[in-house]
Amino acid sequence: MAVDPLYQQIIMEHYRNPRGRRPIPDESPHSTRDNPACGDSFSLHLVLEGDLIRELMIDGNGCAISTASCSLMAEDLVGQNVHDALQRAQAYLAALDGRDPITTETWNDLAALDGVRNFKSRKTCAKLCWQLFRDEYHRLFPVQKEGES
Amino acid sequence: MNLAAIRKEFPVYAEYAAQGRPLHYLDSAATSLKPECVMRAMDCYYRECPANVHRATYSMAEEATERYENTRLAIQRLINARQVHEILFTHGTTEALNLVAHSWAAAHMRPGERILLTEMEHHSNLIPWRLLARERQLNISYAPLNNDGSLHLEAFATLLTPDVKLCSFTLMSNVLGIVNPAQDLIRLARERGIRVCLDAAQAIAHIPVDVQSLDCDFLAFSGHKMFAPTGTGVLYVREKHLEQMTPFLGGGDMISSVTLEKETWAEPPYKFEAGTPDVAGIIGLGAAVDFMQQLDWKERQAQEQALTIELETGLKTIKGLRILADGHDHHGLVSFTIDGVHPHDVAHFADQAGVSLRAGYLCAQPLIQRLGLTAVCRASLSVYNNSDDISALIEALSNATRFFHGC
Repeated sequence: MAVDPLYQQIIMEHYRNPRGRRPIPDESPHSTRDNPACGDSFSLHLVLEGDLIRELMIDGNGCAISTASCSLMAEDLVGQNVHDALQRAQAYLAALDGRDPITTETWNDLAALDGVRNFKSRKTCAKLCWQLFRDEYHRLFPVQKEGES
Repeated sequence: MNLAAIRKEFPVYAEYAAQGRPLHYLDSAATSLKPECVMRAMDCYYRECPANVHRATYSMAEEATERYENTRLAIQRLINARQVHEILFTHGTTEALNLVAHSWAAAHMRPGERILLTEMEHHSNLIPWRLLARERQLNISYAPLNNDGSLHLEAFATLLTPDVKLCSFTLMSNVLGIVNPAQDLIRLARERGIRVCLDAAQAIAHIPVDVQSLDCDFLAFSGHKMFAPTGTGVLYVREKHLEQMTPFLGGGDMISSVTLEKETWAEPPYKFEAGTPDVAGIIGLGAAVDFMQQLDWKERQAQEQALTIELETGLKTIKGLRILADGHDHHGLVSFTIDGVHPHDVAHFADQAGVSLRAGYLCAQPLIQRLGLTAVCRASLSVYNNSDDISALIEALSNATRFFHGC
């Protein structure tokens, strides 16, 4: 059987061993996003050290694509300046909606999700955690919401 | 009509075949495919008598009104209503249930009184009542389920307390395929003077629905799950409630007279049908009823049962697959999960093989949560499905399972 181009090895590896995945303590404020079409639900608690992202704590349930996207995001954004990370999240969301291939030159391992651009419903899966990051950013920095698309 | 030849009546199959694409449509519980006769009836209205209805001062409008009202007669026969004016047209089950909430419950229930629902309801039979309860300070109880998802009948009876004025529940679950023992439940409610509203959205295409033998007060269903166009629906209202119900939407067609000071309502059912309706859609709904009535119920149900058993048998060959409400009669609607494979990934594999499969919580999130799940897959059958559809599904599930369990 031919392997579906959507489920590349790197996706499956992140699906099986998701980075950043851990229960968020009840007392920790966080953001949550659901996809009512397929039942996916993820929560994110951002741990900052000044403006530096020390950790992304992600909890929830989802398909291989949404789970792998969460994991790839956790790997990609940890250690970054949180304001730069927001710009990167916005750019990645635009890339998922874009016509141009998502390449490793710009996006490193995140390029593994390039295949979802061909599947509208799976694009929603891949985007969920990046929208969640944006929610969590705005929870932490509520005044800087202006200009968001 | 020969069930083996019925697929030819659904033009989408020829369309897909012409494009060289496979089509194994297994999502009829979401919406059914539409037969040629329904599209033809709608097309004929637009070509032959595209006038507005109920304003007949000329022959074309009379023709349009006659075709439109013929659907009301067809629906009356389909569900065995005593009177034709007990049939109200809506845009679907959701609007029909909202109509009961606004036009009956809001006018007849006092703060502190209670509505009984169940934990297996579709969101469309939850949210209208929740909105109303908030607005009018009403209470809501939910009849619990057994662990297999079926309704806990003793608990349902216990919850019919003196403050309950209305109970509303589904005739057939859109997740489990279980048909609730409605006649018994309705008898219990009526003995206590409680009004009963039924959500027949799923049931209407799978079992004969007879409002007189059910003895319900309200019954709602959509056209689009029974071969009719989207945006059409029906609310049956027992005659004695019609006069006491307040209008739903205000506007043209639902009034008898209007001055700048006051207005009087049109007679039911028109009192509840404000504005120009979806005339073509309702005419298409009439054609769908004619289509259904050409099929023999016994033959249909025998075919559905045989195919459902084939589906369940095939599903049980898949490693780690669990059927929801296993052991119950599923009436062509089977939901399942596969260990280690998320339903959306299953549906993706199915789609790649031309199999239309539904995944998610199927607009019944409380039920899915009650079963301890976050999402499920659902395969649902109709008259046009055959063994090839089942084989294609089972092969796709087998491939998905091998891929996810193997790599």
